[in-house]
Amino acid sequence: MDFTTGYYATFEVEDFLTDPFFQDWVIHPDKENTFFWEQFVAEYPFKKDSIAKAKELLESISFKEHFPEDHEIEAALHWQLQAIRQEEAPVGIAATRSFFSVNAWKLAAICTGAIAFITVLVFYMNKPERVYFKTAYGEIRKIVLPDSSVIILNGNSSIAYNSKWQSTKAREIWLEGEAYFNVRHLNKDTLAVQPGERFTVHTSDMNVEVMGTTFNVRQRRGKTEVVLETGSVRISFINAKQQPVILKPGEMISYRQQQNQLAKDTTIATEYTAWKQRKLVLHDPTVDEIVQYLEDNFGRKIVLENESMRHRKIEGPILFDNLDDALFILSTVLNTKIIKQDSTIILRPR
Amino acid sequence: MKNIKEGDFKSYSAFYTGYFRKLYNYGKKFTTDGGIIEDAIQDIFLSFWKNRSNLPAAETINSYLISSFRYTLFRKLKQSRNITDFTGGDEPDFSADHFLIRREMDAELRQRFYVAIQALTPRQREAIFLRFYEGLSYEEIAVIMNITVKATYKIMARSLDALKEMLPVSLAMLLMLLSRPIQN
Repeated sequence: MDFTTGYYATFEVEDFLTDPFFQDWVIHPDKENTFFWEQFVAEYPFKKDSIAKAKELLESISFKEHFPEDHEIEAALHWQLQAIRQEEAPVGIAATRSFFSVNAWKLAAICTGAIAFITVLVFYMNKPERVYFKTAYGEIRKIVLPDSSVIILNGNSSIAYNSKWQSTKAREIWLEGEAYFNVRHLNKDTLAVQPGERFTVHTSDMNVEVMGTTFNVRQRRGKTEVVLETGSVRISFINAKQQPVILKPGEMISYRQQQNQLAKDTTIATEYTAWKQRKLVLHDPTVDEIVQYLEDNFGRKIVLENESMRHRKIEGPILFDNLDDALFILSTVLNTKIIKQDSTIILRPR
Repeated sequence: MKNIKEGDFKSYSAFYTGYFRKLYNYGKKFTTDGGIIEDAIQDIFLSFWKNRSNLPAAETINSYLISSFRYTLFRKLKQSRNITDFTGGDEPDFSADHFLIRREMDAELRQRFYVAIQALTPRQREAIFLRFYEGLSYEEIAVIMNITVKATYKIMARSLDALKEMLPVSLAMLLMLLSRPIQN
């Protein structure tokens, strides 16, 4: 310890506030400094108030925290490790290549047919394969793409993409159902976007073009909704009469191809993506909306014996964790019994 | 750290994950663009890995990483600003919005506190963040903010004085609230 307690005998609140040793005690209290300041107060009891005031003020300084989500950290780590491997790869790859060429020439000397065989083999190995993921009802699955972008696929949904991703070609995903995207940002210069920096999600009725963004696409029952959390996306439609739309964070569109009906709105994006945590948040939903959502994601047919209930609004934000919770809430609000028959659920008025 | 020097991916991953959270949180004080923050973290960690056999002493690694991150992030923000033609000063702004008041205070006190924080410069706010949130020493803050230790003392004293000056009522209130013994 540099000072004796006497050093602080004449200190006032402002002196304590700015004294590093005093601050250290507030920030990292330990046995040693706590002992020191207790000693000090014992020796100079009339300083007790000043010390307490200074401590209180320093302790009241606090900051908002912005921590990344776990899946973002995971994706970043994945990218980091991949980048390290790439950095360290050149030596390894060069060695493998020369090994192959030497062997190929040896083979050529023996039999030219072998060369043809290898060529065909290499061709097949380089030919992109279609990668396909499908989730069952109620299943939520996380998929890390070759570029470390992350897709969280909701139940009863599927994505497909070509396995070989090249830096010169756009990244493309085909989606049916609902998924949340956290797209790795590759663009260096916004004025000259390289093909490989593009990321496009295709659904049957539109293309969502992305640059480093998190967003949700929900395509169910002839309606497609895109909700943008961060970044920016450009949406073009298969129907050429429909003009492309650019979304800003917090905006959403909902589109019906059959009627070529497009609506743009602002929303709380996280509520559309709450399903990732197996939660569903709906604001003042109608019973019909809830039932449709449950059917789409859990694959049960839900029958309302009293059809007029469908149009009832349920007030306030509603949060569902699982099918049984959801049914319980519905049956309480509607005052019905829940009858389960195979894959059908009947809500019968009490 | 020894394991990382030897090229152990597992220790490196844990180390990376911890710092990713910490630096991301720090970076968010200057920009809302998580993409740029992540780019900066990836860059500095890639060079950290490359230079792992040649790292500074263990006790300075924390301030070394924070200062390289800060430097890289500021450079990237400047570049993106040139492209999109943002307005703003030379350095990114550590906004007053990031301050919170931990303790229960009435509305008027709260208001005064926020006015006081608004009056600070971005650098003063940042110094307070590094000192009282990250718990760094004056010497470490000097390295990170690329100023002398003496200047750090000055910045800190001025910011705390400013906070105190604007809080005459608050201090009186705090005195009234003072029922707890200081040892706890």
